[in-house]
Amino acid sequence: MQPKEFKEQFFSQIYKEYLDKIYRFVYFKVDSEEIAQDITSETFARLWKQISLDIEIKNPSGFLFKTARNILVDHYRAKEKNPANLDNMSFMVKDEHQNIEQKIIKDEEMKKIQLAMAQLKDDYRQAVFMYYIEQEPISEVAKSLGKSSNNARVIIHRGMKQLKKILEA
Amino acid sequence: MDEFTLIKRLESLKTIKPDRDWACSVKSQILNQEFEQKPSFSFIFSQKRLVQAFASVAIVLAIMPFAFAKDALPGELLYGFKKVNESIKYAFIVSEDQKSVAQLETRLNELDKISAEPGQNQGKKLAAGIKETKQALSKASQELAKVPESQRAELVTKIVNQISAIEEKTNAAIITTEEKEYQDIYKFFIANEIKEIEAREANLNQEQKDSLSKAKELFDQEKYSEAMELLYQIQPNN
Repeated sequence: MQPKEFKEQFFSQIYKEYLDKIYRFVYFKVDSEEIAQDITSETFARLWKQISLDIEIKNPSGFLFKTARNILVDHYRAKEKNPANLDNMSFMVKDEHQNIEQKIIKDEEMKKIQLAMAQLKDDYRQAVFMYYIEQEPISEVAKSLGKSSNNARVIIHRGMKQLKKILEA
Repeated sequence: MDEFTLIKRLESLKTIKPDRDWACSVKSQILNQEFEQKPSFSFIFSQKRLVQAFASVAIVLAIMPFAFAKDALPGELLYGFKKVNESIKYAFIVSEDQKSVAQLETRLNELDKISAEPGQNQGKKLAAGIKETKQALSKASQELAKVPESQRAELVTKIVNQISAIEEKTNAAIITTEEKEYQDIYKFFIANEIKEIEAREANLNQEQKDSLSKAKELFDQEKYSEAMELLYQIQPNN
């Protein structure tokens, strides 16, 4: 059994590296900052439980994205809510840390992209999100999806194709 | 929107971040949660555990008949287990004669119990008990022949007295004169009886003295049963 300090240190490293990514990933799918926060915190709480119980986590990225996706599914099942809604995207511009780049989000086009992202199939959304938004290398996207690099490339390509199709519709 | 613009727009979404204060408070809340480690289903029913569980059950099942067989009597289902138990128990007795005498005493006690508990199977149990006792007596008889005469007399008298008492109780013949294998024990017993009576010869009347000398003759001729009958008729006046 590992000492608690070591577990906390391990958790803190993962938390630091993945908090923003998981938050954004969830945020593109849900319709409120509050829900994004709840789902993100629940995702990391499940990670901490695994670490606390000495259950080995070989792929933190894969674990976190899979857990977040599962919680999202549960959330929609329970609340029967629709994915992201344009009206609720407006809070993003109220963020106190926003900079000039973030103000671009006000742009109607950005809102459309976010809505289109929310409509993507889970695997496609995760792949496009990780590759284009998080700018992770193909190997990381593959690891997170639990697929080979070639499969990940195909998923990214198809995801982008579908995203364009939604935006053109 | 062309692909280049779309990619640029997607990249710009990276600027969305959670509130820093919220991130810090959530982290400390999560780290304050404590989870108790419980044995998981897979742990309990892992193959190794399963084998251990089966082994434990098998051991218990193997031991149980031995534990319950403690008071089993001849002719009963668990009697075989009792005899195995006994052989383990008596293995610690080094002397073979003591071992055979102890086994014989156990058999005689069993016969005593059977005679004290009348029931449906009493006849069957009695027959089985007599058979077991005879076997033990045969073994004891052989072993006693190896014991020094000074020690043998006391043992033989004790055994013969016990057998006589049981024979009287059960109304069954355990030692019959026809069976040569028990003759040794008779021989030792009669020799001992003759010695005791001889020691008090002064107290005998003429008739008793004649009976004693006749019994000695019969003893020398290996007619133990007849010698025994004569000896029983002699009642020394202390």
